[in-house]
Amino acid sequence: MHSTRTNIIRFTELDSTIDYALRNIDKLHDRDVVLAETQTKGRGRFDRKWISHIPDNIYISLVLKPAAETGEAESLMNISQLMSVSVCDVFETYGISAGLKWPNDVLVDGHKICGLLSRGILEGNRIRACILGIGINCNMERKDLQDINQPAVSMNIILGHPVDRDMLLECLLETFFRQYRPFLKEGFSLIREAYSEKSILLGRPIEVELPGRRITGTARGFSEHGSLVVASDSGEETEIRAGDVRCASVV
Amino acid sequence: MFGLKKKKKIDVMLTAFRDGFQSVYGARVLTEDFLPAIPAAMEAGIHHFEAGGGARFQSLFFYCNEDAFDMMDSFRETTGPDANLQTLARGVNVVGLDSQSSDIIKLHARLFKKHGITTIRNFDALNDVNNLDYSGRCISEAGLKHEICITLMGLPPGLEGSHTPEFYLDVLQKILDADIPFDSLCFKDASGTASPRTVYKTVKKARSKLPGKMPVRFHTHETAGISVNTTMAALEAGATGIDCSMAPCSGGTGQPDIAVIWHALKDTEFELDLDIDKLMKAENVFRDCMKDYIDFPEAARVEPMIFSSPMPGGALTANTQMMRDNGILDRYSEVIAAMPEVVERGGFGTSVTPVSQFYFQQAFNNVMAGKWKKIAEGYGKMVLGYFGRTPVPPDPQIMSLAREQLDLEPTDKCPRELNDEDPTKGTPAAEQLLQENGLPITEENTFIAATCKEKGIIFLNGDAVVNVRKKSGEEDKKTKKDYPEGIPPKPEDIRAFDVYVDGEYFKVEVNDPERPPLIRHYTPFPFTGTAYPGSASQIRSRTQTTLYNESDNGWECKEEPEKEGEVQVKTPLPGILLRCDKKAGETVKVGEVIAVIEAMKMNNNIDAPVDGKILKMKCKPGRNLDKGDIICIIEPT
Repeated sequence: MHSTRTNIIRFTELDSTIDYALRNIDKLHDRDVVLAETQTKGRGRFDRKWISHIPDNIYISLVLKPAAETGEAESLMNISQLMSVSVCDVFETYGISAGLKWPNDVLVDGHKICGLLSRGILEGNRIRACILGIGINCNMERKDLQDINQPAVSMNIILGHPVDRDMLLECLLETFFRQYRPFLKEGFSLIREAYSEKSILLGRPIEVELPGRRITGTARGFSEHGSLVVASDSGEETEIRAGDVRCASVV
Repeated sequence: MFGLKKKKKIDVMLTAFRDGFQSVYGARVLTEDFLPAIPAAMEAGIHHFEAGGGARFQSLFFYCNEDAFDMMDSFRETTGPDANLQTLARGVNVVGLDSQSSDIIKLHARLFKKHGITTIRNFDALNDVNNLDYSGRCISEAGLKHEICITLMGLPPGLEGSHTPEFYLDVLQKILDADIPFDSLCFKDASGTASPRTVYKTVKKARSKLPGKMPVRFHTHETAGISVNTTMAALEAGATGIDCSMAPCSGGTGQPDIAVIWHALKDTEFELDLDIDKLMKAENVFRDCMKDYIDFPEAARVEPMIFSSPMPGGALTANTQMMRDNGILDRYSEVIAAMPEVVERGGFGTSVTPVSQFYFQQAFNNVMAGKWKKIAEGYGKMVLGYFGRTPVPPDPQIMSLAREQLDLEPTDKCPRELNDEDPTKGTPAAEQLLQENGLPITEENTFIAATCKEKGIIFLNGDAVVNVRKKSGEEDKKTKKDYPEGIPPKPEDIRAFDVYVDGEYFKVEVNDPERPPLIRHYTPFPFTGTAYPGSASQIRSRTQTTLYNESDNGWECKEEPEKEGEVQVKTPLPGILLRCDKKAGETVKVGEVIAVIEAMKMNNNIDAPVDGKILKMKCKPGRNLDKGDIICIIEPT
């Protein structure tokens, strides 16, 4: 059964919201949001660390449990891409123009400002639920950003004033859930155009790091399933479903 | 700067030629006077203009002796085909004060499209989505862009119960749930009283509810002095467009000046896509266009009391003018103080036309006639449900007073449906009115007759007179000739005369025998709602000042001594004579309607004060009347 309201569960401190959600997945409901003021073990993609001991930023995990029988859960594969578009839309209302680096990095002038991480909970060979971890740098000091191992920025630094974290969160959830139901039905195609418009990779030479090999070529576009289409110098097209993309002219 | 290399370009709609005129000059500006300012503004990079609607539809017929459709045509001809020309519509009231039937609402959209309009902003003072639904669909179906609108206001200190971000977002949700087609959303604060924080929260959350590319616009007035703050708050929250005006129709009761906003946005992430030097030139051209128009002091300044009224820019000047004309401006602050209760017990509709006028009229009556002694017609109808659903149910006690005094049952039917059943509204009634007056039946004439009623007919008959407040050329000449240094101040030792005419007392002050005398006498004029008893000249209580000037010469309805055995029926308030229901020679009974005058956007019946025979009608429809002008003379029986 779907709920239509989000319910925010707040913690002063957690190891990480995504770990909490994984441990408690059976007790958590569709649209529950686990929020921690600080995290001691914030996580990023490929088990990288996400600096998250500074309060007044967004460290949340969103629990999604769509009805199993409809088959809509398949769309959860791409849910972090919907969230990345939602983050850009919300940023736009602050006057911040952000771009997307496939699959779901949100960058402002090449600087990381938001990280997304999703975990599917499988039952047999299908997705039963999904936990979407979201970290957004809202109110960071410059010195905190220097501790991050890649160029990073925070909303307050861009805007020159502090950001109301709770309002940002409300707007983000509202924006995300406005498209959530149609997204479950239609999948990535629903947001393909918006996603492509925001992509900073299209038409650029890129290098994709895959487990055990490396592909170079030009970013051509995105398939209906949200994978990255790379054209090699010989014109051969490859669909990338997972991998770490580098783009020298961007980062 | 991060992410801000490309500044966000903010769309500006220039409101100078609609809301600017309405807020500063009572909407009375002649087309040929302002047209030269349009190319100058376009030169500076402005391509979005508010070109009409609101009060700038009726006022052209009523006060400018111009056809509003011709004005829109000239506007379009001046801008060329690409400019976004926008007008303002009041939901089911379209461009009038009365709600209309379905056919007229549809005709409105079609005709405005025909006369060159691109976009219509559609609002309802009660934020009743039902009132925006049909009207909005008509706008879209006519091929126009539909800008749906939510009206804002700040509540007076101590009041709560509505007008929070949650309330506005709930209205937006209802709009979305009703699936009304729209191309942009506007938050409109006609009184300029919503707080910056409320505006910020409302716009920010509204953007989350809307598709990413949906334009969100913000409209306010400088009346309360915070328009720059709220405009900035709206932009910071993600508004994509704002309304600005140009001097001399900016600031004060009008929108913030476009140059002021340009300046305020320096070093921010936003910019107006304009050439500031050319903009300053355009402001000068516009000032020059408007140089002959009389500026009213309250239109140009910030009014700190506005937070407790809250009164829209356009209505403030109209109401203070009216009170000044009647010599009771000293009681203005009492009326303002009476507003919060009227707002609260009336159900928290937004103070914007026509509800702002209902609030003022009721607050006025509460001061002049005693608290809730006299329910004003519009206010009464509003609490009884005739304008749609108020945000919060009105006070039942006030509803029952309204029911008794107006002899009207409460309703929960939608106003448009009531109008569709009303034989006095709609196309057939308008066509009949045209026929009776021997006027050709065209779409335009039908719409004019339906929305402007008698005053529309006066115009179409060619009997309208221009009543635009200009510094008259003659006065200028006279001032220059006789008083090169301007009019000398009134000396303290001025000679005062006590004058009695037929037992009536006048105080006449005379300084220079060549100058006209200043005459004061006393007359009451509460808003009685449905009818005014003609003020027979015996009843006098409050000060009125009539300064005779030469431009009034020869009006036969001006004051004259009352003869033995005659009763003069005078207008208790200044306004325009809409129609006379009686002719000379006819007999009348006490309370019978002799004539109807319109003032304060409200029709007022002038009733016979005595039984008798009408000896003479003193003026004809279309005439502008000062308070105390004689409408007719009755010989009592």
